[in-house]
Parts: sequence; C-alpha cells; structure tokens
Amino acid sequence: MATPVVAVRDLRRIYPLAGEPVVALAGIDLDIEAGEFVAVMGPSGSGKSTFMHIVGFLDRPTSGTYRFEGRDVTELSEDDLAGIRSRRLGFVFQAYNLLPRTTAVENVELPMLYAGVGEAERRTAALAALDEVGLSKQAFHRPNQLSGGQQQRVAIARSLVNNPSLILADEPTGALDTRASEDVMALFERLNHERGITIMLVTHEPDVAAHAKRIVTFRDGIILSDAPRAREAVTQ
Amino acid sequence: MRLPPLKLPSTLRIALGALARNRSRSLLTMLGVVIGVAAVIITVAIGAGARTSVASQINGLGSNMLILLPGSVNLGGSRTGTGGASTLTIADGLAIAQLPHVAAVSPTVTVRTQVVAGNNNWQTTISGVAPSYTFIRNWPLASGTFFSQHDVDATAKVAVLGQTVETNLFPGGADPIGRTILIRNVPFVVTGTLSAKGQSSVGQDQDDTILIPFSSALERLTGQTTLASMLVSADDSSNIAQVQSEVTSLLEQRHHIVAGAPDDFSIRNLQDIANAASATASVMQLLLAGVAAVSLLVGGIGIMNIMLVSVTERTREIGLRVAVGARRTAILWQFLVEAVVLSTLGGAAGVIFGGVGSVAIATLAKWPATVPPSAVVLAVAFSALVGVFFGYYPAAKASRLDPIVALRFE
Repeated sequence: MATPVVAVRDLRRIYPLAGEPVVALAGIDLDIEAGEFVAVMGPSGSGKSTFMHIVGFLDRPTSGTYRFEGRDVTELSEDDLAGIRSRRLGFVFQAYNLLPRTTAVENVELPMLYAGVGEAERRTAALAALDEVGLSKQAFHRPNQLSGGQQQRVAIARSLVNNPSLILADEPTGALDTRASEDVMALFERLNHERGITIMLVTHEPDVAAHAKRIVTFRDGIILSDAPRAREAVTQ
Repeated sequence: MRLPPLKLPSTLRIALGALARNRSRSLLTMLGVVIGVAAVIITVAIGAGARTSVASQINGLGSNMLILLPGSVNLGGSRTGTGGASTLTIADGLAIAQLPHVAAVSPTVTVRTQVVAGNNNWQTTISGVAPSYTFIRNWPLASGTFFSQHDVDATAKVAVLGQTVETNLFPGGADPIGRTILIRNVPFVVTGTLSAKGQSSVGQDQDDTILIPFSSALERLTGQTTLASMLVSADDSSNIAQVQSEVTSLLEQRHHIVAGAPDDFSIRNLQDIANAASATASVMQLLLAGVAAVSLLVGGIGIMNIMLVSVTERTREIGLRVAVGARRTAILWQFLVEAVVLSTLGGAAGVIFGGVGSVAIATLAKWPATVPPSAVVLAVAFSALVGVFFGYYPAAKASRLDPIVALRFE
C-alpha cells in the first residue's frame, strides 16, 4: 500500500489557557490516502478546525505524530514547513482571502512566487489553473469585479496551481448561496475525480459533506465516526 | 538584529506589488521623507551658494588685498577715532612697497563731484589711484589704455571711465576715448574704459567711478597730501597675514607709535571679512540642517506609523501569504523592503523637489545655488536608512503574526 498523504497517530492539541487548559484534540488517529476526498464534519468546538490547521502546518500538535507523505512533520523547521506548504499544499478558505486590487491571475500566481517559479512559467500555470476552474475570461478581473462563487473558484485555482498533493478547504461554501455552493462542490469533485487530487474539506453542512467520498465526524476532540459516503451522513 | 539572506528579485516584486495596490497611501507615506530630503537639499544648496557668493564677492574686491585706512577701525567696519583720519601719506605707501611679499601698493584719493562731457553731466566718485590699481582690484580694461607711472609723475590730466559713467556721459555708444571731460572745471582726456564690475557686497555700484592718477587728484582736485586709503596686494594668499603684520609694524615705526598705544591707522583684511561672512553662513546652514534633520526624523516616524497601520490592515493578507507558503523571513523582508522603497523613492522625489526649490530660490534671490552630488547621494542613502530603521519594527511585527489568528482577522 502506498504511503498515505496524511497519517496522524494519537494527535493531541491542548491550549494552555489561564485557568483550565482547553483540550481541542484528545487523541486523533487518521490516515488520508492519495486520491481521497474526505469531509471533516462536526459542530463548532469539536476540534475539526484545529485538526485542519495542524494538517496544514499552521499549528503544531501538543503530542502525537503527524506524517505528511511519510515525513514526520513535528521534526521539521518552520521554514521547511513553509517550503512544503508552497509546493505540496493548497488552501481554500471560507472568506476566499484574495488580495484586493489584484487581478485573478496575479492572485493565482501568489503561491508560485514563494515557491520560486519563474515569471513566464508562473503566468502559464496560473492561466491554465484559471481555465481549469472555468474563469479564463475573468483572468484579468479584480476580486471586486467577481461574484462570490467566482472569487472562490479563483481561490481554488490558486490552491491547485502548484499541483499540490493535498488541498485543504475550510468551509469553502460558507459564504456562498446554494447554487454557487453546488458549482464549487462540483468543481472539487471533478478535480478529485479527474486529476486525482486529494481533498480534505472541513464543513458543518451535511449536503456539502455529501459530495465527499468519505466523511469523518469529530466531537469533543475525538473522531465520532469515520465512514464512506452514506445516507446516515445526510440524516445527521 | 540578524537577518537571513534576502531573495531580492521576488521580494522586491512582492513589495512593489503591495505598494502599487495602495498607491495613494504609499504617496502620503512618502510625503514626510520628500519634505525632509527636499529641505536638506535646499539647505545644502543655499549653504554652498552662500559660500560661493561670499568668495566671489571677496575675490571681486581684489586679489590678496589688504585695505589700509587712516584712523582706527574695528573689525566690523565701523570707524572710530576719526580725529586721526589724515595720517596716511604717499611716503608710507612707498615704504610699504619695499616690504617683502608685497606685490603692489596703490593709494586712493576720493572726491565726489560733478563731471561734465559736452552736454552731459554726471555726479560720480573720482578715485586717484596708482597704475597698479587694476592689478590689485582684478579689474581689466574694456578699451583703451590705463595711465602709467609716467602720467603719475607728470600729474597728467588723464582719466579712465567706469561703465556707469561712460554710459551717462557718452550715451548712445559714442567712443569716449580721446574725448575731454571736465572734473571741477579741470579738463581730463579719457584714455580708457573699465570693464563692468557690478555691485559690491554692500550693494554699491562699483562702475560709477572715474580713475585718475593719485598725484593729479591730490594736486588738482583736493589740494591735500594725505590719502583716503591705501590698497596693498600680497604676492600670495598665504602671505596675507605676514604682510599685514609687517605693514603694521612698519607704520607704527614710521608714525612713532609707542608699544601699547592705539594705532592711528587700521588694516582691513579681506580674509577676516570673508571668514566672518562664511561663519554667519555656517550658523545659518547648521540651523537649517537641524530643521531638515527633524523633518526627516518626523518623516521616518510617519513611515513607521503607516507601516504599523498597514500591517494591521493587511493582517489577513499576511495570514494568506503564510498559508500559501511564505516563510516568516519573506514576510519580514516584504515589509522592510516596502518601507525602504517608500523612503528611498521619497528621498529621490525630495532631491528633485529640493533641486527645483534651490533653483527657484537662486533665481528669486539672485544667489548662486549649487547642489553638490555628494549631498544627493547622502540624502538618498540617509532616507533609505530611515526606511530600514523605522521599517524594521512593523516588519518584525508582521512576520510574528500567528497565521491562524491572521486568517480569521476581521
């Protein structure tokens, strides 16, 4: 069996707040294989966001191990992590987080700027990524000239421009209406199905999670259920 | 502070991109540095101009020249002890001419009177001088010839006209050479004209004069034997002080002045006047430089303020940059380079405005203003330094943001 993209064992994250420490993750064991499309669900405070931050190297676990593509992340320096983040990871956020007053194509180029990709190559890859999300015509529009759904698709283009092995999406449809949500989720499904990109999606909406192939439910810092897409996910 | 290596091209591109996205804020931020550097440039230009101006005016008075006056005169130039005003004689002048390092001596006898030439008349100053006068004063002729020692010995009735006198007595460009003018009804033949000298340092028209042999002035106009003043030229500027002390001791000896008693003459050293003038200019320049330095400092603090605001305002942007793979050091460098680009561009703009301002002041004040290249380089370098100094704190703050908090920042 191939090395999982994400492999965590007994992962714990405790915030040492004044008074009583807050336990966000109380021992998580999870593997995400290449090509999977996983939805992480759970109510707020269940630890799903903390888990995503740790998987995306934005936070570090208090204890436990995390191997990303077989490498023990806890032993890597912050600069090494930034390097992996720029080449192997893509982020999609609820609030899009595009740079204002900057064209779509320049926004998409941003990760390549930090990965040290040359100028011509950057532009070609950025335009190809925008084409992939169906925004070729809007490549030189600025965020304020784009609808919410289009902005999120620019953000998705930005997340996949470096051919990452994993895209992390944090409530990517949270700010979108139903129709735009469906478009964005269809896009994720297509990227997963056609290009085999591994996707981990954090959401609390069952119909959004229903697009994934596997649904992991968090509660109080532990995994409550981990199952392939099934009807019970919708009824939850 | 120790900084990791900087990848300049991409960092510069990122920083310039961020500045271009916030054009008006960038311009306002630069304003403080623009004003500071412009002030520095104008200060330096005026200071350099003042020195040039003083030096050229002093040179215009004469080469390595000492002015010998009867009576005692303090350094500031106001005369006191006028009771002893008729103490310099031609014999004194002849004795001084024998001293070492004395290149030339010219007595001056001045009379202010009406001069008539044909139908025209003009009130002017007649100066009786020696043939060496044009050499001492650095004052070449425009046409004709100057009088000689022979004319002095013969108390010849010959005259050389200054430009102002020439245009007033011989209007319409008529050639005055060989013509006769009447000075106190004494006919003098014009042998030459002087080139234009312009205004003196106190605003007097130096061309409003007629030069005649001093012997003729004494004998035919004043009827006296004492001199108004004497001009002494040293053979080299380094010997001026020596000549001054030798002239002093020679005259004290000739005038029988006992040690400790006040002299009945005084010597004005042009170097002293020049030094006093340039000292004044230096104080002025120091004052202006102080103002300029304060405004540069304020400009730097302005940059720090705006950069701090900018870091807060762009918290999400910083979080995003970290999320897409920016290292902490890349964030640090981005904001530092932004600050340095702002301050350096501000410095460059300040140099341009300062240069324009200097030229404007020079034109209005008829004052030579030169901007030394070293001042330009120094001003731009200093403003870049201001950027580094005041940009570091906001940049360090930006690089230490927690990306999770930053991404959620509203």
